[in-house]
Amino acid sequence: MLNDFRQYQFALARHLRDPLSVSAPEGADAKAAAACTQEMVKHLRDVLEPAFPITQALLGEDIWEHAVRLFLKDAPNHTPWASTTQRAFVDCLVARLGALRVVAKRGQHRSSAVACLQCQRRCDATRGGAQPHACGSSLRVARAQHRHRPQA
Amino acid sequence: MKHHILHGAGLALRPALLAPLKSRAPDNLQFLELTPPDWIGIGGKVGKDLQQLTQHYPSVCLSQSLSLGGPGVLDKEVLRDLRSFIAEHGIQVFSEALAWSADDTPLFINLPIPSTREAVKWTVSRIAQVQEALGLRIGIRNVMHHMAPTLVEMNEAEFISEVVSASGCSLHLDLHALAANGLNFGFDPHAFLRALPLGSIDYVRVGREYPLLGDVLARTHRRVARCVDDVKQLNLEALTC
Repeated sequence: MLNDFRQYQFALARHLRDPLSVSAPEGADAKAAAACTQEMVKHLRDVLEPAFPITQALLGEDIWEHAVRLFLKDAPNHTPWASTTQRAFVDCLVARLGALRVVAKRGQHRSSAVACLQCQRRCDATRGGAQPHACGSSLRVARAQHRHRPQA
Repeated sequence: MKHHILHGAGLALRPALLAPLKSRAPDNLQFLELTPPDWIGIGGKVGKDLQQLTQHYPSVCLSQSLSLGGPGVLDKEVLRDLRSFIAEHGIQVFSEALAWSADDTPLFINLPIPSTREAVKWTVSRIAQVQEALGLRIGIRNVMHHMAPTLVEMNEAEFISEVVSASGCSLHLDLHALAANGLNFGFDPHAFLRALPLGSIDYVRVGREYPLLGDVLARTHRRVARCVDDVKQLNLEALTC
């Protein structure tokens, strides 16, 4: 357990920004932390989506959410105002184009199973692999199952 | 110490409410509540409309951008922007979330401050810095949380009381957040209210929590400004009880 409360806060923030690569500090409730990350993404989407309806539509739901999560993970320095957040997001999109292209390609080549964009867990519906994702996403599990349900 | 002049019922102004409010403002609307991220850096027609409204009505700044209990340093740029926002719109009351919402850059969520004695000292010193930078006495406000605090040395009501008494700031209550936290974390909001220093309250966000508002008004003799989220709620008699 981290003794200093500020060290604990920094560690928790790093985990919330990037739950897959950074583990939660001791004492933090994993389920609550996953809910917090979801809430952060939701709030950030509320800030960004009114400003970029066309970009969002062009990228599609999966890549858009991936871009929003990349922005949270990269944590570029900016003030919390909607206008400055939106500007910082554009810079992040440009800098991370390579990573987003990889995600887009992966999306095109989905075959027998679908990888969750966030936690890379593959949902193989033929073996009933609907386990909870580390990123807290249940939407993508449901979608993967739907797509790959064996023909009756 | 300047005491504010707000009274009666106010409305949480969102950009979508600008047009209806311009065409017909409710008669019993006494003041507006502004959330800085929605408005700072916005110019053009929307900026002008906001300017017109804040010239007509007194305004409250409902902030959650300072990350009062946060681990990093206070963002000077945020303080500077808030100070000019306060001056531009003649803000009478400044309310800041008692939470942390940034490490070195925003996290887009309010997280509970670890409730330790050290954290009380840290938060109190930051409140003093904020008050000095903004040039006014602020109020701290309870907010909705998605996780229970860790490193707990005292409960949330005790934490709030200690911060209020050590910093000398006022206490702003968000009844909707209180009720939601009560539901999520399984505590009685009425008991929570009884443990708070109600004498320091001068501003209450009501939402739809009229029974809790009754509790507050029954226990404080101060005049309390009350704010709701919806134009329709302004007409409820309960607001003037």
